[in-house]
Amino acid sequence: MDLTDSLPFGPGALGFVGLYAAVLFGIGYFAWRQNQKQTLSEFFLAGRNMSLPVLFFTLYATQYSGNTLFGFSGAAYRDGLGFLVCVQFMTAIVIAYLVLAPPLFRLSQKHQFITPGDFIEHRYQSKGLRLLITVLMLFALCNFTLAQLKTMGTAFAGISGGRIPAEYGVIGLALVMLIYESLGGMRSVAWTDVLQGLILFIGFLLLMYSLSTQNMDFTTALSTLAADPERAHKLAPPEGDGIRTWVSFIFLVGLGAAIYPQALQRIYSARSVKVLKQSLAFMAFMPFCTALIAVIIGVWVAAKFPDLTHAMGTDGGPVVLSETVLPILCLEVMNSSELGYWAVVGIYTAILAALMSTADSSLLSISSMITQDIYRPVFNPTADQAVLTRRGKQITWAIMVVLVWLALGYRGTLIQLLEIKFELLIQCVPAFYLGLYRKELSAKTIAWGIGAGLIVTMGLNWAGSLGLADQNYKRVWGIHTGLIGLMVNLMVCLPQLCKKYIEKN
Amino acid sequence: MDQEQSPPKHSMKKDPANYPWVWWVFLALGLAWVPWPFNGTVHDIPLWALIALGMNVLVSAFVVYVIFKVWSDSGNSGEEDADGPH
Repeated sequence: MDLTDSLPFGPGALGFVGLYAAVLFGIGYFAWRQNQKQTLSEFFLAGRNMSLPVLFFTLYATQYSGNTLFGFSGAAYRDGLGFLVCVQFMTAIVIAYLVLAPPLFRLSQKHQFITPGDFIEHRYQSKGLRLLITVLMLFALCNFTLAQLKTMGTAFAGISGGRIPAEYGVIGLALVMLIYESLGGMRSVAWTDVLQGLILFIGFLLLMYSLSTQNMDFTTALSTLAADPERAHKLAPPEGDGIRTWVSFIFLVGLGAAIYPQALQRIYSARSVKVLKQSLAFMAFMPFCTALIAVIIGVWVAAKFPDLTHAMGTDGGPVVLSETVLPILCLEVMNSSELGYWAVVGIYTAILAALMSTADSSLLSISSMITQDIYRPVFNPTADQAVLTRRGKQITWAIMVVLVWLALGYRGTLIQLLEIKFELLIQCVPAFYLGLYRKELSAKTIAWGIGAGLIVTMGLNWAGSLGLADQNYKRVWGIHTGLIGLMVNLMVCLPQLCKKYIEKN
Repeated sequence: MDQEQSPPKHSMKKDPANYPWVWWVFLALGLAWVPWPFNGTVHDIPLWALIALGMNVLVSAFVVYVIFKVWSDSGNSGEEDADGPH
């Protein structure tokens, strides 16, 4: 079973989604009325005036995507409690913010940064480095948005009961996002994130409720797994490679996700440092309300449905596990009662909300970076704010058209490159984390470090395909290749960081 | 954007990153954060998983402590950052 079949949604569920879309339009219109000036700061950063609830929910809705619901529960089905690491790496992102947010917020207020590239050029005085980092970030973000769009289509087809094909779902929801985003920019995105974040939060609560209504409770599920020699490993603590992968995950996601451009731009958008601090304090506990619930679902389904690995899709091919675990739970709940049916409608709306909130934030970041980091310096250095804002809107539409086209049909070799987005993005870590605190680092060193990190990461990922080894490596000794690349990257930076100390001695 | 560059200063004692003890605590919590091979269960929940989650609660609580007690918000905005890092 995948997202598109077997869940018996009626027309009422589609009406529910229609109502949700109408509210999104309303929010977009209201945000448009609120936008006072035609400036980049107003359009891309909501006038740097986000209040606590708005900043918190936009951070929450952006950080926890549809992947949290599908990907995490699927991984927990496969790895059992070993995927509790997701609770820890989502917490690690907030720890990373403790390093980034205080100085970055002050600098962004003082120098009116719009994009991460603004900080890079200000800090390193290098247009080349700004371009390099912008391209890496754009690549990661486009990939991120693409994944959301693809899942959005399948989720929409699922909730429409197969009445509306996935392609129309992608186009329709992309149009909804484009309209409210063009109307109010970041203000629209952040306000819709409040709604989407709330729906997502309620969705997770509904999932917990759904589990509690089942005839197998969680502790029974655990004892079922423990009693089965073939599945007992899902409850065992990780060892050897497993421990190293656990630690690698914490560093990879913790350091990498905190420098996603849309996350950095939310730091810029805070009304005050007080609001920023309060939002991050709430975020420190959100992994317990989201990632942990996804793990509980995955483990529960693993106990109740042990043979999903042998399941076949409607086309006869193997089903992608991560897309299967949640629909199976939903089917169980739907069939249990009328209340269960509407709970699943709520959960699916939450899934759509999670996907849309992540996609719209990424899309806005993409257009801000193309406008501010590429169009403005390369094509129109003298353009005024109104012209740039207009271009930003046009770029948003153009990017969306390309991404929708890719989501609907592209199957080229680029797909292989898309799989390692996070490993590439993490190579930008020294530029931000070290650049904020160490004046010794130059643009040239950072660029060489990124280059070395990229070569190592891509070399390991495609070692087999390039004929350098007998296989491609996603991890070596349990450590993600992106993190190995980052270590090489940091080693390139090390001599310059230690230069003063060496000269002194 | 203001293109003027000024060198980073290392006297930003108001930021959590500048307090070494904060990171020593994170390191200590981090060592306990990683799952240790404890056997046994509590109400059928593996002990190692309970300890890992319990440590996560402690880490989150310490994050909140650092946010409110270490990270200074005097001045409330970018205005106080005349001696910012760059």
